[in-house]
Amino acid sequence: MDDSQIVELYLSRDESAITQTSQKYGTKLKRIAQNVLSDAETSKECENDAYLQTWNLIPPNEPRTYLFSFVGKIVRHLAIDRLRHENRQKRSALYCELTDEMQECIPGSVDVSQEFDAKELSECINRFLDSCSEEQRNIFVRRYWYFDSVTEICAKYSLPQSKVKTTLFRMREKLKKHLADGGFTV
Amino acid sequence: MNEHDLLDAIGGIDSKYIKNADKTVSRHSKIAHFQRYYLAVAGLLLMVVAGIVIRNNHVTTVYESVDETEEITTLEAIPEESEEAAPELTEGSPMLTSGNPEASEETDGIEAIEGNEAKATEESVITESDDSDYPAMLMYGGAIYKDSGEEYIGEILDDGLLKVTSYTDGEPSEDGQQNFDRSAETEYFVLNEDAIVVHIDPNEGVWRVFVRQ
Repeated sequence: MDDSQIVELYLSRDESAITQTSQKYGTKLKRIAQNVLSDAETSKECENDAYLQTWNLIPPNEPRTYLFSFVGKIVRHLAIDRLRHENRQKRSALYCELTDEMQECIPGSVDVSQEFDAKELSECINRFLDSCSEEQRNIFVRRYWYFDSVTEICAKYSLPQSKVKTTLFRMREKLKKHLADGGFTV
Repeated sequence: MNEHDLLDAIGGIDSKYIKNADKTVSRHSKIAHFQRYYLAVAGLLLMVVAGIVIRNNHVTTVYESVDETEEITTLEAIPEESEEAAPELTEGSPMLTSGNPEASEETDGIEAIEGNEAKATEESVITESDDSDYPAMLMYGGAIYKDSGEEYIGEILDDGLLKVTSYTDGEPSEDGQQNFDRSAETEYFVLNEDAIVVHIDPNEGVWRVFVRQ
C-alpha cells in the first residue's frame, strides 16, 4: 500500500492506517528512536506514541508524498524530548556525541542565549543543505537526522571512516559559517 | 541558541532530503552494478574463448581421425602382393609405372605397366575429359595424338624436343597446335611412329604419352 492510500485511511479515520504505517515504516521508525535512546523498550513506546500523534495530526495534515518523513520527524522529536525530560543524556553516548558536534556549529558563545525563530533556523539549514553536494547532504542527514553512527554511514555508502569523518567536520565548519552569514550570531 | 536547538532545527529539514538520504543509491550498489557488468562481460568472453578452444580441439580431432582413416584405408587398399612386387617392378629404367607385372607390355623397349597409380591417373584424365569438350590432343605430322593417360618416366630426349606452336579450344587442325596449353609453351618429343611424349605438366615434371589416332 502506498503512502497516499495510507493517508487516505487516516483521513477516513480507519484504524488500519496505523497497522499499515507500522508494517511499512515500523522498523525504520523504531531504529531512529533506538539511535537516540539506546533502549529497545523505550524506543517501542516512542514509536507507538508517534503513531498516536500521527493519528491526531492527520487530518488536518495530508502527507501523501512524505508520510515517512512526517512520522519520522514525530518519532525523532519524541525520542529527543523523552531523553531530555528523563534527564538520561549520559545514558546515550551517541546523543552526547551529537550534541557536542552541534556545539561546533554554533557561532559565538553558547552560553549567551539568543532569541530566534526555529522555523527560520530550519530554513537556513535547508539552504545550507541545498548548497552541498548530494553525497555530503546524505551523510549529514544520516548523521544528524537519522542519528546513524559513523560506522553505519560508512557501511551504507561504502565509504571509509576517514572520508565520512572529514566530510562531517567540513560540513560543520561550513554550517557554522552559514549560520553566521544568516544572522544566527550572538 | 544552543546545540539542542540546532538539533531540533535539523529535525525540521525538508522531507526531500530525508527521503533522498534513505533511498539514495549507495556507492556499494554502484560498485555491485559495475561488478555485475564486468562479470557479465567476463562470462561472455569466457564462453567465446571456451568455444574457440573446443572448436579447435574438435577440428584437430577430426583431422587426426581423418589422417588415421586415410592411413588405415591406404594400408587396407594396398595388397600384400603388390607391396612385395613393387620394388621389383620399379627396378630398371626407363619404364612406365604399373602395379601388375603380368599385365605389363613392352613398347619399343619401354615397359608400360598399368597399376593403381596409372588407374588413378586415367580416372582423373577421364574426369577431365568428361568436364571438357575435348581430350588433350596435339597435331604432329598431320596426325592427331591423343593423351593416353600414361605417364612417361623414361629418358627425355633433349635433342629432339619440339615446342607446340598454337592453342585451340577444339580439335587441333595444324601441326604443333594443341588444346591444353593456352600459353603454347609445352614441349614434346617423338617417341616412335605411334606415340609422342608431351611435357604436360612442367611444374610437376610430368611427361605424358600421347598416342596417334
